[in-house]
Amino acid sequence: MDRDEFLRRASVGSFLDAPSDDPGDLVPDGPEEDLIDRFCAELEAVSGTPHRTENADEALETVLELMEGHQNFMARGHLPIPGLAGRLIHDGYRIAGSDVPHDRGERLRHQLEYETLEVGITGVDALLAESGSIVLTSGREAPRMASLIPDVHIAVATTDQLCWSLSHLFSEQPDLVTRGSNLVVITGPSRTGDIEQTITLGVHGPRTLHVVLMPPPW
Amino acid sequence: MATVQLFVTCLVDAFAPLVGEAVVDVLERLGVTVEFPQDQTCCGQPAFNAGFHPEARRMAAHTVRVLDATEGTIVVPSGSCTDMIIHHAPELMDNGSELHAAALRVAARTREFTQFLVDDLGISDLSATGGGVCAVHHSCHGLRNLGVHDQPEQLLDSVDGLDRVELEGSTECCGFGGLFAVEMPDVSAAMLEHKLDAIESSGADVVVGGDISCLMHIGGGLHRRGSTIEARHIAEVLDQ
Amino acid sequence: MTSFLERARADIGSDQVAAVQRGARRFRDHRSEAVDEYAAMEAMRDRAREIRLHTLANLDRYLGTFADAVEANGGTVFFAADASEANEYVVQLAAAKAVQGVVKSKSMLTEEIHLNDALEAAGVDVVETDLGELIVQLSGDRPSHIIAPVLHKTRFEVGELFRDSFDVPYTDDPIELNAIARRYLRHRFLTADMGISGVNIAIAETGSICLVTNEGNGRLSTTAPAIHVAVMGMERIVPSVGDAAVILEVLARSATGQKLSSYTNIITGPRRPGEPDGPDELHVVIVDNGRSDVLGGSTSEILACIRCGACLNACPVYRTVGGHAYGSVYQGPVGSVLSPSLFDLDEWADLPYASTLCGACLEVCPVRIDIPRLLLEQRRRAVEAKVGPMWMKRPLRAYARVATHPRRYRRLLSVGALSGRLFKSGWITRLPWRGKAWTSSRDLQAPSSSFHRWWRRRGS
Repeated sequence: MDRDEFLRRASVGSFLDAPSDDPGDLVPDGPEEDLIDRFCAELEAVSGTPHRTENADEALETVLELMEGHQNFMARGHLPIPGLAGRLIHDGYRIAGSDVPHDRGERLRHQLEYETLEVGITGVDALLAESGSIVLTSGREAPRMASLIPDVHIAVATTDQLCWSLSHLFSEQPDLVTRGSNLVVITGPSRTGDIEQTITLGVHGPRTLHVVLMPPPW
Repeated sequence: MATVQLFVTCLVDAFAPLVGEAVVDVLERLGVTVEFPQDQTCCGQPAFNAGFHPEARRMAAHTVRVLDATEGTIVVPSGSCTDMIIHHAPELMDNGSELHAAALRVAARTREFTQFLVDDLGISDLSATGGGVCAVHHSCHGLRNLGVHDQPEQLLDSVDGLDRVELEGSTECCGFGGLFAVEMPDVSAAMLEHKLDAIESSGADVVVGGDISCLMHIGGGLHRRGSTIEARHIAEVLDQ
Repeated sequence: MTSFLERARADIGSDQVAAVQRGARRFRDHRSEAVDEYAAMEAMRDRAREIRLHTLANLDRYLGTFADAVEANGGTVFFAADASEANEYVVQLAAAKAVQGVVKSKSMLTEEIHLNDALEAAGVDVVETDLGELIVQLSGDRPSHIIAPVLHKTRFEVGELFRDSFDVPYTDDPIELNAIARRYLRHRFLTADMGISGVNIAIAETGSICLVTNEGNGRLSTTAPAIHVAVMGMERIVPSVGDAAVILEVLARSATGQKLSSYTNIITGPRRPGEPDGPDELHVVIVDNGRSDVLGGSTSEILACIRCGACLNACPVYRTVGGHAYGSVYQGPVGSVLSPSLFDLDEWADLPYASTLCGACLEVCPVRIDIPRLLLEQRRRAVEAKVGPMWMKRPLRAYARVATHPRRYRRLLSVGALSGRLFKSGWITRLPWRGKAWTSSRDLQAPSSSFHRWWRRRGS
């Protein structure tokens, strides 16, 4: 149907007790508790695993430990641990290409390789303490797939990226939503309760989610 | 003390007049003068709930006229009828009409029985005596549309010798729903079974409520099961 | 078509309905916990309602803004007046792009318009990727809950289904069943040419669409294939990012008691230059299919619904009869209001009567839709159109005549009391005609006197 005709049908004179202006967001009071502690507790409550470290070196060691037993990984750029990807390659881990070709046949061939991808290592754009969530946007060198297709997702974050809640985050950084074509708020591993309400993890997304926390590099 | 108008409701009138008598007794013991406008009939709720607005309007209009010709608080021993008078009767009348104004006046004066006692008179102890164990069934309209919850509990807790237990799912609908009981009988019966199971496992010997409609449904089911548990209106329990 | 009552009769007491009841109660209890924990919930619900009503009052403006923004981001918008226009667009797009395989993430709207059927008729292979919807698809069944499609199925049934569908050894362990589905679907995701999703809520100012899932299928089906088609009900939109935050804060809490679902995904246009992955094309199909009629009618408030399913979980009737008894894509309280307005009133006139008007739905609705009031309005419409329970008309009319004449009324009371006293036990255990519906499951206390009579006798 023609756009104008469609929109004409969507027009209504008045509507109950509708406010005349856009009500906009409602940002509740923030907490009076330690954001880091709360974040870690909430992450655990949704079956994620927090790792608190004192500095980039410790964080690096933690990632190396988590990588043991795996063969390959996909990186999503802007990792707060300098040289992480290089170190992993040096240690013999294969880094998966994340640039998906536009050509149909090549796209298919490239993405089929993802079936054997084991680990995704990403930074984050924000952390939400209230729900133990991590926020990632897509962008240059920031593939969506890194946090989506592998069985294991290791997210490295700095504590200054902590925010209280989704409402707070969107209020403080509204541009985050449109920074890339995709923003995802990840709250724990992939899960379903569809079969008799028994929660099983790792349906189509990662089964394991690690969040490695470190202080900001400065 | 006050003078109140009793709107006794058609179900109490026809099927449980003792409840009405108990309401009068309880109020008079408190020094309240009770008047009963004898031309009262039915508020029109059954027709309204079934979607038959012209019929509902006629009955609601009659009720409004009868009550508007009186003064003082209108006390109703039924959450659903109170809800009808307060929230729906005015809407049935043409906006701006004389009847509409009358309906609004009547709505402003109407109170559910336990609300009148506890919230208006500030009385939650009637020096009543009793025995045994009771459980409260919170009828839906009173509970959700009028905020009736604590009042019956407070009143019952003040009855000397009467213990009270919680009913599992006490705020879940019993399945009466007005004409739903006969329009969707299998569903109504299944909901009733669930409610009766909860009552029987509660340890209560009497289930107490504020709406005779729910109580007829629950009581009828208990009787059919051969249970010794009774379903009684709170007015009767407070009149002991 | 069968009636609600006939379908309910067949389902009440079944194992499937027992499973639905357990599931619904669990959702309801989890919601309760989440609400108790979230101090801002009531204020958020108030705000969410305001946002939705404001949007609906200005829907044309916001849809226009949205469409412009989608296109500015490189997406394509198609306005579909009805199901057939929507389906035709998607089928033609699939043909133009030589699409062979489609992966779908759960969308009630696509069920409403029967999109899968249209695609399959055109030779396109469609696989549902939401685990519950996959089970529905493989078993040729219908969903029994708005957000939990197979609440009614046991793991034994799923075990047998997967054994037969995937030719794997039988297991009823949910973890193993999940692994089977994951293996099967992973390959489909990565090789599909088109991904189709619904839209939980769209954001007008940015041209974004939000997808809320737990499984990750919403992300995969909108990331792996080169083409993403988002099918959106025209009413599922809010003005700004801040508004969307409010909706997202109340949505998961109301639905499952989670603070947020595992994946809250906000998509703004197709893959951008320089981005390594994502679909190259984004098509947003905005569907009317009767919604504009609802918007202009007396039940328009129902369009504020954000499809959380809380009303289903709270509804004692839904828990007693399960989702299938409603017969409609939209079930429970919201479905009972929506179906007779969105679809044919005649066909769905009994659904508004599948309720005791207990109000539990209104108590939990995140946008505070007055569902009981809307159910009453649907009943009024049904009676006015003469498709309601018209057998009640004569008795109610007769009663109205008596109840508006006090002397006749008092006489009726006397007659009732006299007849009642014939039942020596004080109880009536069998009534004829329509009365059977009462006495089939309960006794009736026989009238023996009346309050009017008592009052008259006491004098004063």
